[in-house]
Amino acid sequence: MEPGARTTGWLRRTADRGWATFAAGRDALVGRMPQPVGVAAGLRARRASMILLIGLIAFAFAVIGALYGAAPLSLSQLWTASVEAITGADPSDRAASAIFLHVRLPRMLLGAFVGAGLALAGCAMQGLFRNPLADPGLIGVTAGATVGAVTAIVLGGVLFAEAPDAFKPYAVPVMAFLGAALVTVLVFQVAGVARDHTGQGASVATLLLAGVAIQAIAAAGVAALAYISDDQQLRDLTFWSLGGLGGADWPSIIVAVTLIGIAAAAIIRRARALDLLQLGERAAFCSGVDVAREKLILGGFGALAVAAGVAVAGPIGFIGLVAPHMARLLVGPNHVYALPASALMGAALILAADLAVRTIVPPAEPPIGLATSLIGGPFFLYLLIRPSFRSARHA
Amino acid sequence: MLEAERVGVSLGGSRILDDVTLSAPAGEVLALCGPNGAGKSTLLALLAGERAPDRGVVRLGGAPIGVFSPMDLARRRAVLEQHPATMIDFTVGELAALGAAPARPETEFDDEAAIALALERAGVAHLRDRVTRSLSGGERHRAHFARALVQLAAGRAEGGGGVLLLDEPTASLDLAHQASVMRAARRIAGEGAAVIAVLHDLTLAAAFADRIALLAKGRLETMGAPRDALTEERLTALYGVEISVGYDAQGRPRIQPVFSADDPADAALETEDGAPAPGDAFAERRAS
Repeated sequence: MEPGARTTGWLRRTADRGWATFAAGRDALVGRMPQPVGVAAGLRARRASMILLIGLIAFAFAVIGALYGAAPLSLSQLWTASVEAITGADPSDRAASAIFLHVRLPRMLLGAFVGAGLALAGCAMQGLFRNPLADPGLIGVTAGATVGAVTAIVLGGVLFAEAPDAFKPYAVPVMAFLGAALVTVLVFQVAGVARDHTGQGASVATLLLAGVAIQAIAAAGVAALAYISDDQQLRDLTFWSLGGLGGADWPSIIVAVTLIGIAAAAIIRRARALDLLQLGERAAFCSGVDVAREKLILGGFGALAVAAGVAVAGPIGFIGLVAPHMARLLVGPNHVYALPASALMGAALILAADLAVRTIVPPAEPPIGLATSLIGGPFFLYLLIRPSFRSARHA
Repeated sequence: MLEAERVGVSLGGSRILDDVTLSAPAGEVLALCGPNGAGKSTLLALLAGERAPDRGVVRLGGAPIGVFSPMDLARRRAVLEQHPATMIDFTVGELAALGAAPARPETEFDDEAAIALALERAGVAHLRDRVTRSLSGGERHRAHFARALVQLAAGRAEGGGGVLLLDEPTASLDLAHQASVMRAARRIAGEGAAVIAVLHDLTLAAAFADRIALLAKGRLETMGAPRDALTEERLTALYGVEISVGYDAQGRPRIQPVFSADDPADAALETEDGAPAPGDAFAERRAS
């Protein structure tokens, strides 16, 4: 047989096998997901394929991100290191194994979870407020988490002097959560007071202006804390507030990943309630939704997801806005699909942004927020001026 | 069976609803009619369990409506709001499918069939794959009507009695669709549900309702068969417009306001004991 023909044959077999695996995964996904009635079977398969595809893209970014860096790894080094880590065998290539396990893997894991958490929080808040611009960053939840985290960094020594050592790694996430939860409650209050008489969603202007006010207050708080902090704290604070996936160690990553995992699972389970909330709060109640309870659950776990991410990776903007929109574009508005798709899209976006900031001017590493804002800012402007949104703005 | 017993609601010192007693037995269409500010929508909100009465009690299947959880309520009654949400990204089919939420997965309920039937009855089967926000007001309203019908079917599959509450279901519809929505409501009643509809159009109410409850200024003026409830003297007094009542071939009242360009009733509306109509926020603001 010609060598060329053999290659073609191998390619085709691989492609066939790849497609078969993909289709099997898609069918498994269709089978496992709660079935939204009213969606045609063909459409369900297509949406499941999309979710799988977004997941694969996120995974590809994770792999590329794990290979690339000051000391590049090869695919085979990565493979060997992962296999040895899983089987517990002694590493054959100590350097590669150490780089993978202690630098790249935590970074990719953290990126995936922070992105997923921010995106899910964004998707849940957009659903809750029935407002396409409800992003945890724009409405001030991230700012609240920031104040909480900075408080823990600067005043942690005083505040938690009596706390047991086991609590110490949780101080920043816990304070970040308190800040985020406080802002979420505040935003609910403002949105509730300012809701227009038609009972439609909280108005865009109200939410965004509330966000502006909250961010101003938060900025003042952070500045005050920076003012009273000593040199070491100031360094910690500055380093942290730039945002990024590189600075975290395994213990804090495990805390963040666990918290985000819990929040993500809780939010994804509320898909049906979020769908019904699109009808408005009155109609959602009449359709069997305990509106106050859903607000508490979705707002609370949304705040938790944001806070856990902010605590370890610093404030990263716009993921909660961009990821859910892209996800809905691909899989439609049904939250059974939109929530998991948003999570995977958020992971893909963060990993891509991380890769981008690491490749621009190596070995320097600009903050990841730079990349997310460069994507998110224009996207936000686009959302503001697109016709279908302008007609919706006053509704 | 849904009943209100001497219910009353006060808001800002004025009685929006006072001492209203009525019941909606299964198999019947009950129309709530009356001038603006009569308390029709407030009464409907009480009957839906959306708000609690300040006085009196609403009973659903014998139990005070307040004891039910939102999901229990959703299985026992479906509601079509007067102004359902407009900015809905779901297709009409998906919107109607939301009505199936009260059905438990283990319950025997053919949601696909229920959705198809509801879309058919609401006259939106041909719009099934259109995005709801792109529809006209009337089409969208009927799509929400389909959702309410699916919810009713899901609730009945769960053993709920089946109460359908409609708040001005025909307000944004053309004449043919007004009739088709009311026919659908009749058919639902024929299948054993209790239907309560707030209706502005008295002729429509007379044509499709078994009984009419006439409200004015928060009180129940009268309740009975259309022929008995809708009399010329009563309507003229209630609405402040001269009204003539004719009868069609089946003997159902046909209500005809006698408008004149120079209507002394306008003066009567403004001087009428000087008090604003209950619930009229603008009038209250003007008065203060």
